[in-house]
Amino acid sequence: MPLPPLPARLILLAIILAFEIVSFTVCLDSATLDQTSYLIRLLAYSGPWAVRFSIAFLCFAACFLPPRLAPHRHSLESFARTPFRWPLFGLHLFCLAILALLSRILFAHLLPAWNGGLLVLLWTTAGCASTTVLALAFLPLSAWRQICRAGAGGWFHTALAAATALLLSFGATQLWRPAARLTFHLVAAPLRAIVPGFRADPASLTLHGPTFDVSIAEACSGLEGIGLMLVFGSAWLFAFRREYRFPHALALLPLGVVVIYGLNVVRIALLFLIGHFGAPEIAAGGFHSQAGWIAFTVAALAFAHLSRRMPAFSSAPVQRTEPAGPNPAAPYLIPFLAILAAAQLSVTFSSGFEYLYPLRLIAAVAALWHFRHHYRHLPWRIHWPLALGAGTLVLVLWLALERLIAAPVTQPAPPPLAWAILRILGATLTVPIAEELAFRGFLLRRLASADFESVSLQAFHWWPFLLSSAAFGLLHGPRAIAGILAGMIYALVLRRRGSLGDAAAAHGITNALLAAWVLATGQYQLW
Amino acid sequence: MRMLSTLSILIVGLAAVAAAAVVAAPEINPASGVNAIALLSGALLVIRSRRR
Repeated sequence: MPLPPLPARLILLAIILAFEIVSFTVCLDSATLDQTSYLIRLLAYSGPWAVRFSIAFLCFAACFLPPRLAPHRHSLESFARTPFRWPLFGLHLFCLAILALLSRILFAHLLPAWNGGLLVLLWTTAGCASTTVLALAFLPLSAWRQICRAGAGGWFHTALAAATALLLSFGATQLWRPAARLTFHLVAAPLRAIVPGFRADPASLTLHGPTFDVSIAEACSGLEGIGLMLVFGSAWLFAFRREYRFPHALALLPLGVVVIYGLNVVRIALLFLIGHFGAPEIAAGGFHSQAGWIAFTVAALAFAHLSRRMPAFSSAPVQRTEPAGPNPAAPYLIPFLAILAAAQLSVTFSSGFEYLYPLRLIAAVAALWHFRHHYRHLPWRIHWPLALGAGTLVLVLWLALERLIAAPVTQPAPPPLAWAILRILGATLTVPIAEELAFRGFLLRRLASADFESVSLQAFHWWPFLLSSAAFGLLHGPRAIAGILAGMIYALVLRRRGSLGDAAAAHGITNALLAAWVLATGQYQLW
Repeated sequence: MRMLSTLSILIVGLAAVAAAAVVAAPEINPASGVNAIALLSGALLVIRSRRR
């Protein structure tokens, strides 16, 4: 089993660090600090900015450093052959445990008699020690010295860019109010013509209808969408800069901004109309939380797809008359994407209970049926004892982690019988097939090679194994850890005989057993 | 010219990070972000995977 190469190690290290930083940020609230000591006050004020700086620094380092490290690739790659230092990783976990304990003492005031300044110093030392030993677990000190030297000015540019981003964030807050005001006027104008009895109050930025009102908060001004679009557009143009004509292609960025801002205006107008025409719960519930993402997804896909077809921006535009070549990724990804798109749509038009869940089943069946000829060449043989064992193991882990980690919730009401039957069908048949095609059939092999079809389903590489399992786990939201472990087990099942059928069957058995557990115990929150 | 273009993209990227990092708010709900980003990433992979 080959160890991950150097870039993979650095990316894995960055992911673990980012995950730990974000986890601590979510759990700790600087507002709860008892600010009697100077050092605690310093921590309370600088902590959130230090976290933002760290994340920005990691992002910009990923942009600036690879070109500087490229000339030293051969000498640096020799470090990738050094084994991972598990004892240091164990020490990192120990430091992390100390950090968690000190955090609890500091943020929950468990020991008020302790000196606050000393606690902050201990807390900072534990944090620095934890990060240092983690870095040394991945690469030896000599490798870090060489990376620092090879990076040269790149480290300065990275720090400067991260600091500039933070400074700009101060100024950005001043734009919220005027942007919200412009959005208000753009939404109010067409609604006046459509809705009888419509009234707009510019002082409170509220749209009044006969039965439904919408207040445009500053955060609904459209600036979040603009921010996302600029990040996406900049990253896209940077990543594929050889395919675009510069500086012409830079015009795509303001175009993207106009489109996403316009879509936000349409979103708020539709939200008002849905509420006005009799579905205020859907307007304030699913539509409110999903429509922004739908608008961004549509705008970003249009940006990526159309910009390559425009001769004004593209250095080698795709011709409209050019016959489309085969797309090897589509049969593996489209069924899963169809489920995601259907889920987004069904949540958008729901409030609380997702009664449109069957849409996911229909979308998956349609996509699987469309690509059925491609699947005939894939190995679907099932070794039932293996699938049953792995599927049961995942269920046991899933339930054990649920008991350990999950916060207590109020039990949802039992769903209607027809809905439950369709839900079980989806969870045991279409979801396992679509997810195994996407994560094990495609992503696991695509991370090993661009020509993923040439990679054997029995091949094992640490880097694709860990990343594809992490991606699979993250899609399970609050149950990410259980999802990561499940992804690893299904990947190992696939590797054993190289059959997608084994992984899909194990996945389906887990979901079927989970459904049985949910129905038997009434724990519908597990669905 | 390429340097200038790259620099421009980075400047706009900086502004974007600044604008996007202020607060979590209803326009973009973080709770539903993972599915949306997965959908977008998958669709982009499909777009980029087509052989000419």
